[in-house]
Amino acid sequence: MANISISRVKREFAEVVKSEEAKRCGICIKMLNENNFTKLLGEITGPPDTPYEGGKFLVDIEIPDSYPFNPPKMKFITRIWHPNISSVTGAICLDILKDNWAAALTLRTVLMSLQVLLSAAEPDDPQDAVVAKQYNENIHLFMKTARHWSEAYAKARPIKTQDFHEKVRKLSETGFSDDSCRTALSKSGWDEQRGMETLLDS
Amino acid sequence: MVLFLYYKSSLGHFIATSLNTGQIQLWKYDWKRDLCIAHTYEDCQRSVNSLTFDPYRPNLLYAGSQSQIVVFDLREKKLVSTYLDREDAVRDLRFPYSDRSEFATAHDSGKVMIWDTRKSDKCLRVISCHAHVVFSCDWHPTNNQRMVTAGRDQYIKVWDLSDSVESAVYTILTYAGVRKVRWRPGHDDQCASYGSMAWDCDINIWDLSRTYIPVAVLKNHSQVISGLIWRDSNSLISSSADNRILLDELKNPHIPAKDATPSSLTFNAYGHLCTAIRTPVADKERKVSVPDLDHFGKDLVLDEDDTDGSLSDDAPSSSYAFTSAMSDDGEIGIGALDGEVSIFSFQAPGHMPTEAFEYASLENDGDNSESYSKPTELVADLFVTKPTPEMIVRSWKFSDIIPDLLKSYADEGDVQTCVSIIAALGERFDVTSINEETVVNWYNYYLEILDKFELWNAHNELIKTAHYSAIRELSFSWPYNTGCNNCKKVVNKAGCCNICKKQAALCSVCHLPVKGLYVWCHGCGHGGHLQHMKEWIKKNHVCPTGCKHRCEYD
Repeated sequence: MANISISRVKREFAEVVKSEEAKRCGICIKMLNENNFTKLLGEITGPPDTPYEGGKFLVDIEIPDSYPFNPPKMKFITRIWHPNISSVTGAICLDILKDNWAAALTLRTVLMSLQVLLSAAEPDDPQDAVVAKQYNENIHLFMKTARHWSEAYAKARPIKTQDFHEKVRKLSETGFSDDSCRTALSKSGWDEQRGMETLLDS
Repeated sequence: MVLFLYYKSSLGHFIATSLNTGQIQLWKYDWKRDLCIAHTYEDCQRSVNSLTFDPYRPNLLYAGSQSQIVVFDLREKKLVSTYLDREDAVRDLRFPYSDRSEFATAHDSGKVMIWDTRKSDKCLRVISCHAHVVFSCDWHPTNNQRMVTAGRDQYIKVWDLSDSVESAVYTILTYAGVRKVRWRPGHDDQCASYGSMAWDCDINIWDLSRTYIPVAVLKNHSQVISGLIWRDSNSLISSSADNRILLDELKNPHIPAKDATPSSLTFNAYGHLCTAIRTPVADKERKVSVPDLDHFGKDLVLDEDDTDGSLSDDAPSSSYAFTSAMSDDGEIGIGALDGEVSIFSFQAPGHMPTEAFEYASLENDGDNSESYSKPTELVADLFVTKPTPEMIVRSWKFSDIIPDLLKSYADEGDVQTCVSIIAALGERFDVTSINEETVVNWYNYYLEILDKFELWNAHNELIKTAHYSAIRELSFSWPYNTGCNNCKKVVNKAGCCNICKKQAALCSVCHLPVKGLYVWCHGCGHGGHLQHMKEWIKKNHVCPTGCKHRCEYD
């Protein structure tokens, strides 16, 4: 790891830890291994007034050797239902992590950008086509599904997706895992029959 | 040639004399104090150089001649043995003081041979001592393994015989060939010698601890000395060609160390040169001069009155400045011949010593005639050191050579060296020594070369360091506005952004303050380390700050 890269990451790490603003927004960062600044773990709290409110989303951060000339590699570890984030792999579609990366950006600003992305999805530049389609066609169902995922994976306080939980529980009685049942149901608009078919097709 | 020998034995008092013809006459000194010839030995064919009675067998007389060593019996009045049959003249023949069976002979060939009295056919050992004739040798009075030799090659050498390979442990270089050398009884490290040259009428007493100058010189003879023998430790008998035999009790010998001008000199960091000399006019005076390199003078004359205050009162001969040293702040240390050290402050009024102490205590046995025999108590060398935080190196006047040097380089067309020398000397360069116009021309020419090679940094540095206004005027400043990398606003003069309250001159790539070359885009005002910006532009086409400006660099 080049010198410039290490020293920058160290400073940015400290910046996130110390920053009052990041704390207020519920953003924090951790090291996975002692003295290894190439693998970091970010945590973003779901922004208020969104289906992700109250959820804790873990983000895997990998700093490349060529940092800051190249952007850090980030993806969600926590499963999330979002048009710009893959529901399967957690890959993020965000311009500043790709072509629009600027050296002036830091880990703090990138994590805050991700938080903003959660509150303002970009369905026209989707990462997950199924989610984006649902977002465009039935925003209400999308919201409810996203909320359900937050409750199921991001430890968000359960509010009103009890029926979805019930459906997942029922479908999982067939022997499929909760996760695959939830994914299948979400993709099929919570229609149990179609969900079952999706499960069997996959 | 007559050899004078005083010999007392149970057989009576004998005196043996030899003639150049090889004839040896034995004189008997009877109770009536009459001297008569007891016998004449005519067995020796050639001149006899050395005659000795055997100290342990009183009836034997040894004679060293030009070709052999012969032994006569006093009672039987005949030759009893011959030791050498080679053509090597014997110059001296000595018996040791304790060993009864050995004796040593000094030879013309530069060798000393050691013989066993019982073995006449072969010598025990041969020592190659001198490059030329060995005139004399002598066994040490107490140490059987030590021998002194002297020769025509002007050396007196002291040999250690304890090892199978003989080595000269002391070497004394005299000013002329040495005819005879004899250990001083009672003084293990001293010996007396006299020279072989006709003008040399002095007897020198040497001490092995100081081989470069005799401890005492006896100047009582007016002609070349012919013989020397120690009577006891404090008196020696000598004969010379002036028909006198003198008994010298060494009461008031001449001590050459007092005559010599003890002097020393030393520098300090300021370029002061300190010399300590004893002025030869008055004995009770020591003189310390501290001449500056530029102007001489400032003699510090210390007479006995000055030094009495601090040096011990019973030191009549204490006023020999023998060695000196000077510290950086002008203090002078003077080591006296008698072992005392005084520290003088050069700046102090009255030149009173600021400190005085005994460097090595002088062991005085109360006998004045013995005091010279302690040369080991001398202050051999002296250092006064007072380390200063930084050494100030005095500038010397180099300005006279510099113009010639520069001109010679300029004639060769090497303006780079000329300008470099001037730039390196800076203010120390005497501006008036060379026509200003010439120097400015050199500068301009060199700047042009630097320009041609695109060495902008060197170019600008040269202009900045120049002491000529004509060159410095070439430097001009051009205000450029740089933008804050955070908020993109123009930064203030202190390099801080008024809005972010942050240092603005941070590298937009590594986010560290830029020390050194700051390169920035004239379009958006963002920049950073030259290397980082170069690397960024290689991979991207827009500003690293994300201002979307398509930065352009040449």
